Amino acid sequence: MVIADYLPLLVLTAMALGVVTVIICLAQFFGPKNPTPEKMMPYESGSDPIGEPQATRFSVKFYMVAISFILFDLETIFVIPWAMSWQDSAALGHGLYSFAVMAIFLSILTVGLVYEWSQGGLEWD
Amino acid sequence: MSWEPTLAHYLILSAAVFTIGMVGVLVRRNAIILFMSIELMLNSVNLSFIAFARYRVDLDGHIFAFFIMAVAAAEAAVALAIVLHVFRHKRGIEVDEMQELKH
Amino acid sequence: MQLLSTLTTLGLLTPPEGAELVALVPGAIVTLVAVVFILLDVFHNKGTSREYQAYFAAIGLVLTAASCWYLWDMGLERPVFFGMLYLDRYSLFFSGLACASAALMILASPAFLRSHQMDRGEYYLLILISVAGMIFMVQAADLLTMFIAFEVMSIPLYVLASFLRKDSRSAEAGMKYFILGAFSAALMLYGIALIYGATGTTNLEYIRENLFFLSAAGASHGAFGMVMIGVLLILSGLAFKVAAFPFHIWAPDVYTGSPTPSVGFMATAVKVVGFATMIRVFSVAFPLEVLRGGFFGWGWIDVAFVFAIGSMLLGNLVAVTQDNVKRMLAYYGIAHAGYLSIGFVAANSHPSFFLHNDAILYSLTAYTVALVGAFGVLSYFGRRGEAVETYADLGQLGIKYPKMGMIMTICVLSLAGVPPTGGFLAKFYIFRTGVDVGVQTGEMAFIYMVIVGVIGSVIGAYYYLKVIVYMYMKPALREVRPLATKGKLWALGACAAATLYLGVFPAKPIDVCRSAIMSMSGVPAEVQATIDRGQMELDRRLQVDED
Repeated sequence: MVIADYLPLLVLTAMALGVVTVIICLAQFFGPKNPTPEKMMPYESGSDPIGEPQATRFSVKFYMVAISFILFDLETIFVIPWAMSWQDSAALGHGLYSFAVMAIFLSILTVGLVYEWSQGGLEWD
Repeated sequence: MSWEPTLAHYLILSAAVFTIGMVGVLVRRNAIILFMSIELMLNSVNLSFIAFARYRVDLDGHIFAFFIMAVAAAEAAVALAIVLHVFRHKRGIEVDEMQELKH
Repeated sequence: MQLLSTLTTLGLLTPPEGAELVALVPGAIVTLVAVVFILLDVFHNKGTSREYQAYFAAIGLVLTAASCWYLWDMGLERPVFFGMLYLDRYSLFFSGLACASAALMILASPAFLRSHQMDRGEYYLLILISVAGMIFMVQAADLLTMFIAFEVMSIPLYVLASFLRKDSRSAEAGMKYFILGAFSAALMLYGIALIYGATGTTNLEYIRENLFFLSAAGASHGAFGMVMIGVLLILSGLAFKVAAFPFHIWAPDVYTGSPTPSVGFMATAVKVVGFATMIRVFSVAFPLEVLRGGFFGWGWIDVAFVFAIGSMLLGNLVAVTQDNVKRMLAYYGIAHAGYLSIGFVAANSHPSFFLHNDAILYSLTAYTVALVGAFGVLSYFGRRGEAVETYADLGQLGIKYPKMGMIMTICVLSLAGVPPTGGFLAKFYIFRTGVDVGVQTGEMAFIYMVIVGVIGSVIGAYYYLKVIVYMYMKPALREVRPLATKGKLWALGACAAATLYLGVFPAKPIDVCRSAIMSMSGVPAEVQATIDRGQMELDRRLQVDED
């Protein structure tokens, strides 16, 4: 890994930043400005905006989904290395053992899922 | 411009991120930001583990990083639940305002 | 990719020998109980009492403790699961103690939870999972296992601290515990990363060997600086868990805000396991002279010395000013971490004093039963959603409820260190250890530590006698009701009985502590020599007794 390999990326970033800055400055200085009430409104697909954006908070339901996701998603970091090496262990004749190990792990997770389900953690309403 | 990042560079980066996280925990007052700072500390530890493991061509460090990620996720679940719990009672999550237990 | 498959084939996927599986038994029982408990809770009939769940969990813990008893003579010489877990009497002793603390506190919980309208099965489940973490933590032979067990132990405790959903103080306690706990865990992890970087392994014994090798090869000062920082970070992570000065700030707030029975559990079991891990990790992995230091060579012994002095002074002095009993007990917990640190410093300052660690084991046992009893009595009284917390709340309780008064008096006297209770002997052994080591080495610092400890205990007697004075001599301020269940009476009675037993018949418990400390596997050769000498002496004494 040589840092010089990343030089094109640096050039690209610099160019992108430069172009954007130049265009914004040009529009700021030379563009015609004629603000009307309609133009000052936030754009919500053409219809009049309803309520203040800050007033709407995210529902707690999203939090439940996110937490369930992250907990059950992370099991993959243990399952994938296991899957990668399962064949090796099967070749050594320990296939059943390593299968059992993962089965215990997954069944404990399943009990967690059953619990979450029974507590209504998977309901949206 | 041919320059190899060495172990020292990763360690310096990791120490810097760890320090940023630590200072964040010590000076910020919003519970979510505190929690983010702790995550920053954990991830800087991950970075040093991976750097050391790579440097020594040894896998223990990688495995350790996996477990840190899993633990961080479990901590995140608990942390957000506690933050929510606090918010319901106090309508705010500034840790400065938590003085009820001090009398 | 090549490497990955090699490692996993060697490590994860080769079945261990049948004998090695024995090492999993205590942890597996408690985990299995927890898993069955989840299913039990899922099929619980809503609206009915959950008291049976408490008994189920307690029986599970008793089974675990019984398995520790059963395995007592079946310890293994070497760490099992590819250097991940030890099975020795040392770990079984602490597993059993953690189970006892959890079972007693679980029995003391149901009525308290009902009165706070939080009669939920999760409470017992969290304690069970935490105990599983504790069992693996005292068995850990690798910093990886230690870290995972550390977190499995801690995360349920954060939830337990904030368990009372209707109480904003509980929320605050959970928040504080979580932020500071996760912070200290991150510090410890960074320490582990540095050790791993310097030695290339996380196994405790390999760390020791590699460090010896590094120092023999004349490693640069910088490399050892890194190791030293790592060692101190690990020490501070553990010091946080046992609430030693200067990592104690969370304790008073968390103890005050959390539900009383769960405080009894976290104040005792966590401290027990914290000290067990501290002794194991530092005597197995970092016995190197450069790292150990000792009277201001600034190694970990010196840092523990600062912890000891600071905790004893701060804990005892601040405890006097408290008017909340839970808060006072929290400050006493800090002071007690200081007393235990005297033992830690003295017994680990040189390999030849290693056997003095038995004072720590005995002291932890006495402290656990007495403190569990005290918190149990506090959680025995209350009114709808309100707990008995201040001294004033205790007014007249000793007269109205003579049994509870008796139990509280015994436990409090033990904590204050008054004979003939276990607490007195515990303090005596700890101080004697300090004096012994001080006399043998001629190092005054040990003696100073003991002097501070003795002054601290005198102060401690004042705020503990205050509890008794309030219970018997002060008027009652408000009406409180007993939150009684049968199990709770039994549990509290058992605490008081154990406290007296430890004080009156100490010979047997001390033998158990001694044999636990002598069985610690993985210790360096010098320590092993000390243990062998101790064993020979013991055999000779038994011989004489027989003749």
